[in-house]
Amino acid sequence: MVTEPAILDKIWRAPGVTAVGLLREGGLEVVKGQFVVDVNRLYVVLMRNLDRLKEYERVLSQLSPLRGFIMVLDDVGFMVLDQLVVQTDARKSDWDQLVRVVRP
Amino acid sequence: MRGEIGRLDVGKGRVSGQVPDLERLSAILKEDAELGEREADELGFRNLNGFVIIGERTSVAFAKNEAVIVDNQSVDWNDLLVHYGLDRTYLSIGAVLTFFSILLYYFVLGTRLFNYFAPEARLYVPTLLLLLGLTMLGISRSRPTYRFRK
Repeated sequence: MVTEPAILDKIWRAPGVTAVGLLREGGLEVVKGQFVVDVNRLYVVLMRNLDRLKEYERVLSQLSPLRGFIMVLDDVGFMVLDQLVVQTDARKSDWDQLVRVVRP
Repeated sequence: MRGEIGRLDVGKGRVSGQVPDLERLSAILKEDAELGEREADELGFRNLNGFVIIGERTSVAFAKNEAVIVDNQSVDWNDLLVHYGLDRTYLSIGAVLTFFSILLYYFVLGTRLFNYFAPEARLYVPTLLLLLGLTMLGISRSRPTYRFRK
């Protein structure tokens, strides 16, 4: 499970990671670090994105089941994978490590 | 790109590789590119520099006009988001300076054109130009840019 402390810790120590959170029912729980945007606003946007991605699942059946998404805004990267939310410095992060840490 | 299954240019309608259900896909991509920009704005950012939808085996990366469908197993995620592109300004200035430097070396060493100047002084300028040119060529290679910057 992604919620295991060992995995969360591994992600937190990955290069470029500036915050780690978990998607919970009704909100975003900050586990490590600090998010650069308001957590509640971020949660709304992330959930809206996840909802919209279902549209892609319908068009591209290969995407199913959907696991999450990465978005880079200016130099800040946000990755949502299963329940995990990671904020990174997009230029410094090792995306390969981040994506594969959850399920190689 | 490694792991690439298909590529779609929404603006020009060009496709390479395998892109299933092209019309519906380009329709939602277009819509989402606009929405993404608005969302970036909403959160207080200026630009959306990339978006990747991660599926179980396949993923889709896109930005304003282009979408790439990749295979999760073989794709390099870093390569997908950031790439070390060539900075055109540095590249062209570097190339021009290096060219002039070689040209000057030729005039100094191979012709009598600059014999009026002292032998060492004749080499200062082209050497300086060469160093400058090569430095600029070096810088141009290492600047990381977002692959999906619009």
